[in-house]
Amino acid sequence: MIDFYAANSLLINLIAINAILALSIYITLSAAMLSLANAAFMGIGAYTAILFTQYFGWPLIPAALVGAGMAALVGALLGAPVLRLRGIFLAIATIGFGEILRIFILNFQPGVTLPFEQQDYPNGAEGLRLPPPASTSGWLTYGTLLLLIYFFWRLRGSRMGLALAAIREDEAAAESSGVDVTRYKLLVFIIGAAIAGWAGALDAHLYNFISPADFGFSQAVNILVYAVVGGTLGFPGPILGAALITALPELLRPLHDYRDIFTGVVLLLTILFLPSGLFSLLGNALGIRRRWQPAPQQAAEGVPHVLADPTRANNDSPLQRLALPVRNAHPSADTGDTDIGAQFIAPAVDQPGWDKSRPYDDNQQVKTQNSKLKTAAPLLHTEAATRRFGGVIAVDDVDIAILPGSIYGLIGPNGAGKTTLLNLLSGVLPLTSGRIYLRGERIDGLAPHNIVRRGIARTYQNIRLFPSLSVLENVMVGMHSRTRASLLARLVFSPTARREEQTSRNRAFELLTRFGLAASASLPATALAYGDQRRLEMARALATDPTLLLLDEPAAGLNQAESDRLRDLLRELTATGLTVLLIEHDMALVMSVCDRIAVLNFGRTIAEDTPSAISKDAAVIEAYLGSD
Amino acid sequence: MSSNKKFGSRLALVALVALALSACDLGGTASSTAPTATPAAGSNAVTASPTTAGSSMVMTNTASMGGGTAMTNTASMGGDNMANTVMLGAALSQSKTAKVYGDSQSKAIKMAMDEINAAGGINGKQITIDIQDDASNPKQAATVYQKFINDKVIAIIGPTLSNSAATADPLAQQAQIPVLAVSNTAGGIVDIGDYIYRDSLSEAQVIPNTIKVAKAKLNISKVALIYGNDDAFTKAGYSVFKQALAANGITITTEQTFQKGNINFSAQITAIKGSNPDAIVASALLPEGEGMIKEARNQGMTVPIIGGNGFNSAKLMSDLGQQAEGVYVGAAWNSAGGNQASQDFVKNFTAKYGNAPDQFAAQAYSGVYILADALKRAKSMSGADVRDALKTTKITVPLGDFTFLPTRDANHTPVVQMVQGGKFVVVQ
Amino acid sequence: MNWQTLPQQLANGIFQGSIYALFALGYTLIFGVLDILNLAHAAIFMMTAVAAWYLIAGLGLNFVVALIIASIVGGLLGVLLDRVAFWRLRQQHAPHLSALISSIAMATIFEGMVVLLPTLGADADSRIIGADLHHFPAGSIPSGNLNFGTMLSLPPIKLLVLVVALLLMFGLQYMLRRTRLGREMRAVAESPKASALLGINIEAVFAKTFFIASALGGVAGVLYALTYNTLTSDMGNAVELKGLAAIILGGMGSIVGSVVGGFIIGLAEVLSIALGGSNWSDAVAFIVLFLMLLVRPNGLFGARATRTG
Repeated sequence: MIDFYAANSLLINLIAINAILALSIYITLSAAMLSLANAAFMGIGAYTAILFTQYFGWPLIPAALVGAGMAALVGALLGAPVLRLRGIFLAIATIGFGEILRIFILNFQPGVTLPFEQQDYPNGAEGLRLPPPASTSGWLTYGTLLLLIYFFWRLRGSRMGLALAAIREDEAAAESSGVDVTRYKLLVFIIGAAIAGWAGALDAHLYNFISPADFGFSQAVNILVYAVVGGTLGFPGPILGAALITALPELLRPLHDYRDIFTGVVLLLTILFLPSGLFSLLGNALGIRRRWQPAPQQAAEGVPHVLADPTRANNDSPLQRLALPVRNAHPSADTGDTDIGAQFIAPAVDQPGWDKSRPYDDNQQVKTQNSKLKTAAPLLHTEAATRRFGGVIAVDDVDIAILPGSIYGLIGPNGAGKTTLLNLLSGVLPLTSGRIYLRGERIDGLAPHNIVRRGIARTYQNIRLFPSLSVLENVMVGMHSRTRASLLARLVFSPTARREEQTSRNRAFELLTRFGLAASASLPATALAYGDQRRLEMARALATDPTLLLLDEPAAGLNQAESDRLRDLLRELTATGLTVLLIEHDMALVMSVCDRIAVLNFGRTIAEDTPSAISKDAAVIEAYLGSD
Repeated sequence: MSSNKKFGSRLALVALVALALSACDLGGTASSTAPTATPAAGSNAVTASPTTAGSSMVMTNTASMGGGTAMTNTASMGGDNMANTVMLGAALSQSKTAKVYGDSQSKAIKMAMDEINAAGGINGKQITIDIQDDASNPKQAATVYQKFINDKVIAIIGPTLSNSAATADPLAQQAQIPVLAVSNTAGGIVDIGDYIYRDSLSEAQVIPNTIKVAKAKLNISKVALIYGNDDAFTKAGYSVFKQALAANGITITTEQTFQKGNINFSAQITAIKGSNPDAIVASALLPEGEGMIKEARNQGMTVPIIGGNGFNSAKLMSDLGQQAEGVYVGAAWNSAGGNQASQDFVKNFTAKYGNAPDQFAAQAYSGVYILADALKRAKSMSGADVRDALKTTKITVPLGDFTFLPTRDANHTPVVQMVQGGKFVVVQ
Repeated sequence: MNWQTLPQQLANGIFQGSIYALFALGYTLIFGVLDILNLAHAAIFMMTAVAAWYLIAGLGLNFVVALIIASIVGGLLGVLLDRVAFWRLRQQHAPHLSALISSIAMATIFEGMVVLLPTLGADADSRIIGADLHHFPAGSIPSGNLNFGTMLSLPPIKLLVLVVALLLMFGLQYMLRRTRLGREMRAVAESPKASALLGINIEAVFAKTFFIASALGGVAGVLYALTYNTLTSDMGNAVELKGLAAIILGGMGSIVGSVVGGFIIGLAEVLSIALGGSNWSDAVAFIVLFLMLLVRPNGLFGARATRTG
């Protein structure tokens, strides 16, 4: 054993370094960011650390810390602008950054000379030689790897780990569950940069040599390949991938000229037949999948999550999200809104539950909006809320006011702008003009997660759960904005953190129990029946502890019994003081639970009144039945 | 569909198991616990084929043979060295960027080994040279060195690239195994330690002479300088050229760069042409060098083009034909003539492989003879003794009459050649 | 810089740009229709050039005939690439990242294979093509220069490249706008699902897309190799990232954009060399790319960035 190590220490060391690099990209991938900048960060770490060990004579560890810090700093500066980009665009921007950096180092001549052999720093293509013997001993590399394994192990299931998983699964849903997506992405990008920088510093001092060729495009691709071949569903994957890909050339050395072909074939077979990476294979063999992967039945068969989820068949699986477009390229793409083009397609007259023959209580006085406003301070109100998409005005000068503890209905034909209005209220879309107030304070312009923090939660028309997270985890993501245990606290097993974890777990269970989902707590969200998924989404929204709940067609697709249960639930919720905004086509439901109703058509409020008054309003009937 | 998937997964599993098995197999040979008389199947070791004729080689071994003949195998030696062979290692770039040089070196090393073995080997023992590919990658070179050290090779030839040497040679120095570099030209390589020798002249030894000779012959006063700025070899050459030009009072009209793999030099050459130089000085390897020369000639530039070691190949003329005329090459080896050993080497190499050898081949070939000579003279096969024997090398090889400087660098005279009538002609 | 050289440098830039543009056309077509960033495109660029070299140096074909046959070979290689690397991933609705990795794997395999191909008599200095430099036999490509005044001279082959590049660009644009296949390709680009429902055989469209895109990339490779009379197994590497920069600049998936992007990158590169910054000329493309992504991520002509569903 010792002999084997002595004979292969360099290779094993290199595997460990590559595993660290693979983990540095794994953490960004785990937040659905495909960044190829980690090779460049590795170079920054290496060159910075060398400056400190060679020029200033520092010991390796503090110098490598400075290197990692420098990589993190550059990561922060780079991340701020490029993290707006997604998928392939982020990948390409980071490739560009890597190339710029490589060329910079090739040509940079600050006039610094290192004492060892009077080499210029950074000495361009010739690279820098460091004095032998090796100043990185194995333990530093292995120690780093162990620490990272510990870090990733503790990250799993932590508040931050859950937030990252949520971002990976569905960024918009994560944001509207209270997760500060931008901050976490930047944080993760910086952590990845720091890890890569540290690895670069160790690498340079292990081999006593570095040149810009060591962190070019091919190295960037290598790092990605380690992670993907190993599998990105759990941190052991990248480590496994790094081990295999690093050892492969050594194992294949006798193949000579056929080596590249063979490496390519192994890579191809892995990606074709083991899309979840080698780790899934190992998981199968050892039966340990469940511990790392919340969605067994899908990954085991190699079917991406997207297929297992009928409601989102055309949407994003965790990795597919990587290829999604640049943010804001399609204003409606991420908002759950109906397609703008579809807004002008025939008004829906045959909505389920729209029972035109049903008599409503028509004794109530018709009150104007203004008279209602005078009677109490509204929890939420809008002033001339307007949203345009190009030439289309989706929401046009809308004023609504929702009283505390009430259920406020929002109805109208398909494409009337209801969901867009809801997106404006929840901060998913910015207003074109107008204002939104919560308890008299302006909330328009706030990021969705901040709006959640102030007490507005929402659900989506076409359910947006985190498919591969468990039912319980879905709800726990909702608690993000109400908890604060730091990862640091968790890393040191702080009792406070553990207590908080326990508390939120208990609360999540309570919520699940209330929604009749407790028995399914450990199932993946996609394993639930459709109606249960709707309720789970509502439970997740309630987990954010809102004062105002925005529900987008919660009854859609529910059968009569489920719909009745929903009605009871809504009443129960308002009894506890919650306020609800309800978008719904199920008129029986709307009419029976709402205190007031606003009717939207072509983005404008055409009526705002009590249910009974609305049911008799000529303009409303006109909008629903059409005039021809 | 699902059975198909399962089949796929199984296929991948089988492939992985096969890999794992091959890993175990290699692990076994690497740990050298079981001595084997012949190299393991699949390893790259080449053994002697005594039938190969090498007798036409004129090898003048001026060093005394006394003392070293009573060689004893110590227990520390690996399996292959226990038997009737002397095991050497060669780390060459047989794939990726430097493959073209590594392949050339590997041919020359095999040829030299066959000749030496046919002529009786090292005091009756056959040489075995384990040639391993470092994939033009410094890290892989280090891993290859570790394998050599585990296998207890007597000495190491290589690696092809200077960057790999910077990474790997310290390992050999630490393990006290002599290294003979046969193609490294960067500064600092032999400074790694007293076990590191090289038979390739560094850029610093070749280029100043080239510029001096060129100035005397061509009477140039202003030149354009072009070099590859992302390659260690060409970048190092650039620095030396620049110093040498300054030392000879030649001004630089413009400096242009290119990167590895470039084949379009039109913009650089247009800029150079616009600066109206007396000559173009290029620090380039052959592929980019040829592209650059071709573009200069295509744009109608007839000025002399002065290059270094990278241009020293008969391929320059066969590829470029007429356009190669007027190219000056300062190099470590006179590929057009030289001593008898050199001429025989060119003849035999061409006969054996069907193409003329380049400088890389000549240096690798000479390197094997230099090592073999030292091994014959060494008091024992221990690293220290072989190192001491190398120190007193005095032998005639295709590179010329060869000794080592006290700094362990090669000590022989560089040449300046020019292309004239489709051939290299030595410029006096 | 010497301003006398400006016309020549502009011509150099336009030429280099037309190679980038041709290369980028195929790149962007595959991206537009299949949403795949095909990193094996550069390998096909190189392999098609190798095929042309066999035809010219081995069979003694005229270079125009060789260009045409080789581009068909390139197209077929593209179809092969699609079947081997992407077909199965599509069936599984695998994530896009998988396609990226699998194209990298195929590029590795292609490049590994090419160096093992046997060489030809005229160039038989080794058994295999290897990593060595290869040339077309003397006389197989028109030589000499066309002079336009004293400040500009061009080899005829460069003019040919420019003409072919422009013809192919307009041809492709015409094909996409006016032919049935073009309409099908655009439909599939919008939504493969909807297209399948409309009765379009989307697998056939994918195969044809790969054929056309790879043939275009192949033509770029052959013309590049012919112009500089040079062939190496890694000739695609230098173009790969520049082509990427070109399609980002022009707008991912936009035909016109990739052409304009290619010319801008080519000119920027050459002009940076002309202005004395050849050290930084490779960085110029990426700085332009980087800024573009930050300022206008959809590129100059990017009507749509990627498919949304």
